[in-house]
Amino acid sequence: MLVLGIETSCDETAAAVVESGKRILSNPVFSQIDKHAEFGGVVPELAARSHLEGILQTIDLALREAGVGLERIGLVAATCGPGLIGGLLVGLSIAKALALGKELPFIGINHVEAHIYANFLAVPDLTPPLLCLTVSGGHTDLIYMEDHGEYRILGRTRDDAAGEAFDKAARVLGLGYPGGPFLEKLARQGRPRIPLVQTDSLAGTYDFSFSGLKTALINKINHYRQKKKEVPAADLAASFQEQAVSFLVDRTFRAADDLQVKTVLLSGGVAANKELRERFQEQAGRRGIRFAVPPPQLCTDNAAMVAACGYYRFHKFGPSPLDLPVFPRLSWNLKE
Amino acid sequence: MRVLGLDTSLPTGTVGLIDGVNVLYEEKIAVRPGGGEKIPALIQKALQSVGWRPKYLELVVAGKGPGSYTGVRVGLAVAKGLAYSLGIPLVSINTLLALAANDQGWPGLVCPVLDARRRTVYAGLYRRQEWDLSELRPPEVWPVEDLIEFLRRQKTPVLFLGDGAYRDELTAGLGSAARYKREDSVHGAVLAGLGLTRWQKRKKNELYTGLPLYLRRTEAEIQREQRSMRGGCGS
Ligand SMILES: [Zn+2]
Repeated sequence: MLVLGIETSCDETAAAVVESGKRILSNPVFSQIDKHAEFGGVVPELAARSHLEGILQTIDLALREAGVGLERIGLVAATCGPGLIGGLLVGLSIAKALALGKELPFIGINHVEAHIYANFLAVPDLTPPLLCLTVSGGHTDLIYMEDHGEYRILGRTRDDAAGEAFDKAARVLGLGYPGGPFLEKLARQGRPRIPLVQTDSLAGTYDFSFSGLKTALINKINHYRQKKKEVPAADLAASFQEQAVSFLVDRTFRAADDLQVKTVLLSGGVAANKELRERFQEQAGRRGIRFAVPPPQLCTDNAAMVAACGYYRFHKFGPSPLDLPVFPRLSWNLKE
Repeated sequence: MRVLGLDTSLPTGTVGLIDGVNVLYEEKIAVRPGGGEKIPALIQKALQSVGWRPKYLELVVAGKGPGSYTGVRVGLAVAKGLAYSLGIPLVSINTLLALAANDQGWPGLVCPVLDARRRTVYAGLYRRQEWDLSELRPPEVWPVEDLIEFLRRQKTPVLFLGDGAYRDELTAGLGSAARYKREDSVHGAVLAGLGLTRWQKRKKNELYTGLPLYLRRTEAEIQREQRSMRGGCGS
């Protein structure tokens, strides 16, 4: 079965054709980063405008690259939340209309769940149960996936998402937008020698908090400035990254031990971070369990993951109604 | 020609089906807040009730505002998806023209006015000639006072059609030369008819080019300009 996926929840306009939830036939992604860079963050109205301007060309391109017409598609899947309402509405509306016109089934997809499915595209022989940490600019969720469509949220962030924390840290260090990749690059030139937070206030839980780390970073920078000392930006970046990654590693592998899982996954935009991938690899290796992470282009937002997720959900739960609303603050409504 | 008309730019949305001059279906639903998602299901219901498969459609007509940006985008996205999947053309019609077309009898100027907040209105100016509406002024954002002043100078009776915003001010401003009629939603079938006429005249498919009428810039853009002006004048 060929699934057409559509993704417009944040600042990428994307469409994809995926076969049987596993094989990507096409996966074009148009990033709007340049349009938002000068504002230092995603401007929802501009994002929604760009989505409407580009969505049809993107869908058309996805079908042409896949070498198929709409009549070969068996299911249309689109992200219905969480995300920015204006963008979600564009993608969901056009997906429903395509399905209506061609008399095809339609399914609305949870964007966070879709990120997990980037792994099923990258490693087709994966099977649940497994543990997945989804980290991006919008979410930090530690999820136990019992089976397709069956999840338990073990932990989530109490304040900033991990990617948001990286972006904010980059901003206080005077780096470009979006900050995550710039921070990672700078950290490579430094050493994690500066202790930022003394205590882990959520130690023992599976939840995350990054605001304390961000405040500690700001205080350190101010401290150097007050003493008229040069700010050791590279070392600070390395220290921040090391500490943030340690939080992520600690929760995930404590959960892996507690639940005795055999497979650990990373997903979401921050999963492109090399330090994070290496530390996960090392921890998994030490325990002799399997670790998988999608290639960077499948970690960031794309529609192939939406199509893959749609395939599995459709076979388990059937289609969504044509009047399905968008859920800007969608969280996990399944066995949470 | 079998035509679907849909509009979601105003608080009340609409879907209509016509076959040439025959109106087959029309329904209105609340689309704000958060009802625009129901439009595809409403279209499906409309098609089923007249016994058409989706592929029987030959033209899609969508309202392009002015109105709620989010609302207009929903309507246009639905229209684009349908037109693309069916391989048929898309025509967009401005909402004020569609409102003006609701009135059939007024001999003078017709001025649809919608609240655009901060003491401004979206307004356009139309005159009926036989069966056609000619557009004297396209949709624009007007400060209420400026619109009154402009219409006074026309020295012609004016019929306001609108959502009630500034009703008393507008009618008082023009005195006995004005009437106000509450008309705050588009008729899907009327919209379909306007689109059909437009299509027959110009044959211009807006499948890829049809976008909302963004008559205002975004807050972010306004703030950016103010920032750069401050930078330019100050330091
Ligand atoms: Zn994402």
